[in-house]
Amino acid sequence: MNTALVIGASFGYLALLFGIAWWAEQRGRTKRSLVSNPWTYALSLAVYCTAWTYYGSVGRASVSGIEFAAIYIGPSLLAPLWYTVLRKLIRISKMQRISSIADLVSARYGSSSWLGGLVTVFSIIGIIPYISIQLKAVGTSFDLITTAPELLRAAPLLTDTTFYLTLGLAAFIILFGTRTLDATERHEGLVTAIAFESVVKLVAFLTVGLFVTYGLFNGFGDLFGRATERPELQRLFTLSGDGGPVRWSALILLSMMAFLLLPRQFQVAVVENLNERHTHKAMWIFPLYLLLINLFVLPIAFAGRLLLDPGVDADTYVLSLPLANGANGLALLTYLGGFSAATGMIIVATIALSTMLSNNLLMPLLLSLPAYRERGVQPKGALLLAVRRAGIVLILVLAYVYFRTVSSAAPLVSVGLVSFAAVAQFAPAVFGGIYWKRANRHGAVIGLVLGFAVWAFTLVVPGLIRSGLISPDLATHGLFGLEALKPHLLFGDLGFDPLTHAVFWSLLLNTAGFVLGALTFTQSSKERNQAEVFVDVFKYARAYESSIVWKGTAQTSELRRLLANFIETARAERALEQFARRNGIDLASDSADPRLVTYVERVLSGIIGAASARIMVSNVVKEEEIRLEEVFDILRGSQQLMALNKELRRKSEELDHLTQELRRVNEDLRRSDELKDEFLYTVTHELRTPLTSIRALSEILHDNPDIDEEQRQQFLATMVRETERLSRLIEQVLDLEKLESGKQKLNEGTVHLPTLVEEAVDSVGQLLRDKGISIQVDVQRNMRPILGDGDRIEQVMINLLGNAVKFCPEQGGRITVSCYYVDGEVKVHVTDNGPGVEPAIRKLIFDKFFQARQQHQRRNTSGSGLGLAICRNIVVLHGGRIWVESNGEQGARFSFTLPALSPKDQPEQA
Amino acid sequence: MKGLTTQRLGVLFIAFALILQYPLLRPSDSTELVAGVPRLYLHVLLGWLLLIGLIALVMADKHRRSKEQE
Amino acid sequence: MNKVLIVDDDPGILMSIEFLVKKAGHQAFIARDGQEALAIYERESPRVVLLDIMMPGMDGYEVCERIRQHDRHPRPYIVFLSAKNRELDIKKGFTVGGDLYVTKPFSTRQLVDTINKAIQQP
Repeated sequence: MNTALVIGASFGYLALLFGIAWWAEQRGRTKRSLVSNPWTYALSLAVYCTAWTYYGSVGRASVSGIEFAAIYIGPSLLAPLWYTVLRKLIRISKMQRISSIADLVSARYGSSSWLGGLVTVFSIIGIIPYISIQLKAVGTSFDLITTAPELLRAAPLLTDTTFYLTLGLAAFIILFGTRTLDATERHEGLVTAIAFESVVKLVAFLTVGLFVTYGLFNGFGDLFGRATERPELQRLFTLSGDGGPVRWSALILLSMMAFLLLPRQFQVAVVENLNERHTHKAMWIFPLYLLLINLFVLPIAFAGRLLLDPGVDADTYVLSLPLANGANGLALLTYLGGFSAATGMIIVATIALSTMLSNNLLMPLLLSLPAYRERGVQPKGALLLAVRRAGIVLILVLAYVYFRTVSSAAPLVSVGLVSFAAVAQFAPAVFGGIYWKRANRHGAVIGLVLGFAVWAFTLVVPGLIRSGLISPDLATHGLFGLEALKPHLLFGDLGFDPLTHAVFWSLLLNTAGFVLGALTFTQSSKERNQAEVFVDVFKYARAYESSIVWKGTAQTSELRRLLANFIETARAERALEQFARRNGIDLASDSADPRLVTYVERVLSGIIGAASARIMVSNVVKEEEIRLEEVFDILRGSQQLMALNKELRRKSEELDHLTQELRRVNEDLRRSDELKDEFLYTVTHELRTPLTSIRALSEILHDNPDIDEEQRQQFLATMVRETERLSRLIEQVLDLEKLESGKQKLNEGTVHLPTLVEEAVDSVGQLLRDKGISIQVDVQRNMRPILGDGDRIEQVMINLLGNAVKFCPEQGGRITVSCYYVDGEVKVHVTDNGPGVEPAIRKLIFDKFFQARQQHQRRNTSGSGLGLAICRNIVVLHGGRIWVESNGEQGARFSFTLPALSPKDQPEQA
Repeated sequence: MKGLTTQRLGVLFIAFALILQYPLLRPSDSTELVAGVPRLYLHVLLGWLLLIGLIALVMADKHRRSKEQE
Repeated sequence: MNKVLIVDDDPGILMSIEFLVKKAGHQAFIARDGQEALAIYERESPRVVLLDIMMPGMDGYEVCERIRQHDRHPRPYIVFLSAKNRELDIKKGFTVGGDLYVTKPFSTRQLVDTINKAIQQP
């Protein structure tokens, strides 16, 4: 194919990536972020699938069948555990502003710069070959598609396309990967670009797969059927190959660890995570992606073995199959898919490694230089950026050099697996660190060093022997001539394949060293604190900020200056103020609050890494070592403080509640005061009316001795009536006052209501006869008695009867009285056939002076407006209810209930 | 007390760690073709697919329950 | 003979004032509520109206307002006769157009004087 076209397509694709990243960053600033959803998150995780997956899986499958799939089964199997493990890592990293796997290890073990550096160095050693095979894959596929095999590989630097590709990637990474100083800040553009690349490689691979399976063959049945005819291919249907079931399991375990521990995976899964919840959906999207991208690996591998010349490199089958069948367009798409798989990995891995390199290796080294340590010079943010950019270039150059020189004929998968085995060495330190409080720095260092030594000896040295850099004597006679120290058969043959053998021994010794170290040595106080916080992150997530695990003196101005080196002053000031406000710290005081010191260290950690931050902060503060017990006390204290805070909040809520209650009572009092005034006013008004008549009439009688006899009699009768009214009113007012104030004690006794009702009816008998009202009494005999004041209840009865009489029509008045027992209560109804009571005032009529206030009916000499109010008071005092029902024009029914005595309270009846 | 979702996912992990490895893989580890596909491949593929489906189910249920609680 | 309208819902009070008005040589008209008062006012155009405030239905203030809306000549003299003795009540009586506010209980002699003076008003 036309070389210019392929070069154009490659760089066009790279330009497209730039565009997407740039667009996403612009968009992220104005609109809703593209990155903040589980799909983008899951697709960015798919950076796991590199050129190794894209080209290498087929290569591996063509010689060992399904074994390649273990690398993808592992992470899929791990997915359910994201809910506990990944979430915990995310939580810890967010809280502690952790920017890389090295940072995590360093922070956990007391911001140890030693450990951070160690992890960084091991990562770089482990990952550089991995990056270089991506470059190799791009180079090989480029050579293949431009049909210039082996030509450019030998070409001088300036004509090597891969070199320019490397430069382009460096530019991209510097541009989108080092936008901000804070390494814990998200790279939106970058993540979008990575997600896009994941789509491209998946689509490309599925297209090739469909082309091969259904274009070159008639589906899976045809393809596998033809493979069955060849015994050497049929053998690949089973796991009986190379390492067999043991290697299968070892690969699953290895890939599980690698998925979380590879620097680039940690970068996308933890550091770039925007929302813990995204892991929920990604938990099945990501495994599904893995399944889809691997669906056609076996068909393509078998197709390659069946159709292509045995001399063709199996790692290139994906590209060779379309090329051999003249499908040039498809070949270009395939090439771009592989290109995207490779560049995605290179980009993320380089960023992750460069962050580690600057924050966990170079900065701590720089800060330990005499210039910084002794003269108190503080490095500036610009320096940090320069260091990080230099790191990016350095890593890419190393990878390129490795690709040009060392990168041998070794298949993609083998190199990748060696990298996996390298990062797996972090497992004890990381997982032990987040689940085991005793885990300490010494154990971690011992484990890591042991693990790496075994890794290097068993997996790297054989490669060096093969390339002739080390004498093959070592392989045949072992180190120091000891049989047990042969690189590929360290400590003897266990029947494993070399990789499983290496992983077994390296992880075993690593873990053993880690555990023994933890059990032998003690933790520093800082470490103890971090252990507590890491392991119980879900518990401490809130207490953390306010817990002080630091003792010493520092000046606020010093801390300010420290921060200002890396963050623009205004932002630094804002952050400090926010923190101070949240925690009630006085910024004006020059001796800094310990919490402030911790906070500043944490902010700096996000920018320059835990270890460097530790060094910088300890340069400006005078620190005292805290004893272990103190750390405990402090953490316990802050937990108690939180509990106390909660209690305090509850108390304050209670107080609020009480205050409101008080305000309400006060309001009630004021209202009842007003009511009292109103009552007095109404009372005097009501008293004045009869008084007016009496006074006027007596004055008339006094002034007019000649008044005729009949009129005199009429006046005198009126005066008597009005006087009676007056005294009755006064009595009732006093009565009501007694009832309402509770001064009136009920003269309680056993009352038999039917008798009482009948007596009351009898006492109004004359009145009824006078007015020609018929009455019907319907009482239930032998019902339970009630406990109450008989006179008072009779007063209620008479009052209600009087009311009924008052409202009965002049002709054909009819009153019904009924009394019966129901549901533990005695119920009494007094029904008339008067005008009834409007719904609106059915409740109001029991208020005192309701009549006077409403004046809805003609004033009646016998009505004081207090009768019903008194009735209600009496009934309520007895624990009963009183109400009125009215059915339009059909009259009113006044009812009241009184609680009946239960049989056991009931005294023996005579 | 760990949550229901944690427990369900834990069970999934253990169950499929067994299903997708020896010795449970052994019965399928033959050259036989089932529906035109090697039996081992089918075993792994279907197991994998089932795992994904079950994770999705567990998480959908968790989502539904936390919605209900609101 | 001058016409005096007495409006009150208390029979005792009505009885006494009616006697006093007649005794003073005027013609007395009696109304027990606001509606009745307005009807009689319409018919008789009394010179003086003695008006209670707390009455069933329409209260005395409203009756007064309505009478003032008629704008008769000569203008009737309206005296409120009420047991409501709060300053607020009295003020309202003048606002709605009352000429005098007498609180109950009242002195009969003073009331008669008041009526006589009112009648002599231009």
